[in-house]
Amino acid sequence: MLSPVEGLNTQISGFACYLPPNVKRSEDTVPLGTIPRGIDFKRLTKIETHHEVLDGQGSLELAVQAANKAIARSGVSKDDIDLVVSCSVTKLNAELQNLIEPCLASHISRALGIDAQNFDVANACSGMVTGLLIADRKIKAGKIRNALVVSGEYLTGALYEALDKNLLFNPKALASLTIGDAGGAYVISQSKEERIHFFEPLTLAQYSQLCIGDAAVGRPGPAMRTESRKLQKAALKNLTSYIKRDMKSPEDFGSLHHFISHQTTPRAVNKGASLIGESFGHPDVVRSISHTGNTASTSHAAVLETLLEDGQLAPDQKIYFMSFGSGLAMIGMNFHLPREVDTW
Amino acid sequence: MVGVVAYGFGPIKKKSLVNSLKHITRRLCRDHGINMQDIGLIVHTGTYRQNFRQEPAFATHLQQALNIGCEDIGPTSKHVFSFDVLDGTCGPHHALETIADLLPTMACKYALFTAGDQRPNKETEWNHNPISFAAILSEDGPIQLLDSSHDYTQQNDFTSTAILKKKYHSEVLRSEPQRTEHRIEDDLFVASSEWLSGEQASRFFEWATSKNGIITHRINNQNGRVSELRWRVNGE
Repeated sequence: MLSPVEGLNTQISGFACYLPPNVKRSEDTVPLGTIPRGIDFKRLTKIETHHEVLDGQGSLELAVQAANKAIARSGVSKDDIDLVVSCSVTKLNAELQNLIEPCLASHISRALGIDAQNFDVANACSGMVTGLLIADRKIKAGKIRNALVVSGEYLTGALYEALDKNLLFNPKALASLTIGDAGGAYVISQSKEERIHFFEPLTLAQYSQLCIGDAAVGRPGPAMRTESRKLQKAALKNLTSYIKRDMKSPEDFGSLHHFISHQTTPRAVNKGASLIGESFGHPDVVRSISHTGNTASTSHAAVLETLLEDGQLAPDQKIYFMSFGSGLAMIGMNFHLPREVDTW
Repeated sequence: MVGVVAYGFGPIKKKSLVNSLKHITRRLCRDHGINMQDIGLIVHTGTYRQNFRQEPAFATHLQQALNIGCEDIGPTSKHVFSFDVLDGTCGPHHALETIADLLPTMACKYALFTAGDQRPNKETEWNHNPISFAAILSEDGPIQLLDSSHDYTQQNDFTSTAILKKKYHSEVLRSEPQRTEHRIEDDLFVASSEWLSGEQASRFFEWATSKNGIITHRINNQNGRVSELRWRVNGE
């Protein structure tokens, strides 16, 4: 349980997702016959397309694109940003070389011209919500005014690593076929009223071996090995128990306009929606997208951006983020949309 | 206010990083009468992981090895939150500050801070002898974290990148690193830029325990990034 922090309040003042305009259709990337036993990838996952980096783009460039958009929408001057937290799982340049030092946040800050404390957070696909929690606490402690929480996920190197494997003998590489590239960013700021609430962050570490992302062996870039059935089972098993710990009644849940879970596959999100429907009675607020694939830490931002483009977001709407990350990390967070969102 | 209750460290030797930190943490809790089940937050920092691992966070592997908070969620189950905070050799400062920001709002008594590195693979050149470091922090620990400052105005173009060598990825350095020698000036502890995160933390806290009053730990990273944490020792 997280105790409320008295005094200063916080709000999300800007958010954005950047999807590189290089769209790949699932039937072209993973054609029938790729997955053993004649399984159709698109039918299995409900993923229609994913996006891939353009030439010259890596994690940094994806993050900077999203950050510029989020900062512009927030109306916050770069001079007033006191913290930059980078939350990417991948820290790859365009040549699939993995940045070790300095932190990716320092490169992002320099590219944006922001002179502020910066560091990286590593918490897999829960990285951005973890970054938001840290920034929220710093604002509430009066240490900073505004923070940029940002991520650039150049993941598709792992997709092609998996496609080079015989998937019959490497079933743990199958989940890598679901991924796509994206950048995501949030600006979190001081507020006169409380507009963000975090639920208890936790890690069910008994599942920490179920999804491992390492440097690939024998080729540039990353490789991901996932026991996806076990991981999905663990996430679904704990989903409603998690929400019930902090949300005491179906009415609480009914006050949400959009429930956005980490997007592994639309099929998995739909399974979660069914469980939520059984427990809370509002499966219709669960949002799912099929055009990005799993974009790791940026997946919540990708859904928000899609809802914005589709005209489904309105000022003050209440959003719930349910974050899942390899580990198995779970963090819930609800917030009210900025009042200016309809002008973006 | 958050402070260090106890700390311990040792060379990794031939152990894995997770085993090295597990043994140090267990010993630390045993020697100081700390119930490990009262730890609710684990934050790790380091630069090098096994095979340049990107996910999950190292802290999750350590949590599993310590077997704390490893049960499914129930109405009254007790949990732990684990993740990593990274910024090369300045990483310990951001990680400790993050604990100071989070711990007072969490329903747990202690946070575990760890720092350590291990050789990523046999193709990576490795001149380090990493130290594994663990500290337990609470809201009333005697070595109290006061505040921080960060200066990036002198940041240079030095970078470290992992690229494919033969079979495995290996570290490649670009541009000249900026060297800073270790020195002590009254109540200021300036760390060597050559030290990895565990050595940064262990050397400073060893010195800090011999001090009284307000002291400063400064880390000058090889890329010119500077961070400082100010501490109050023995409550003065």
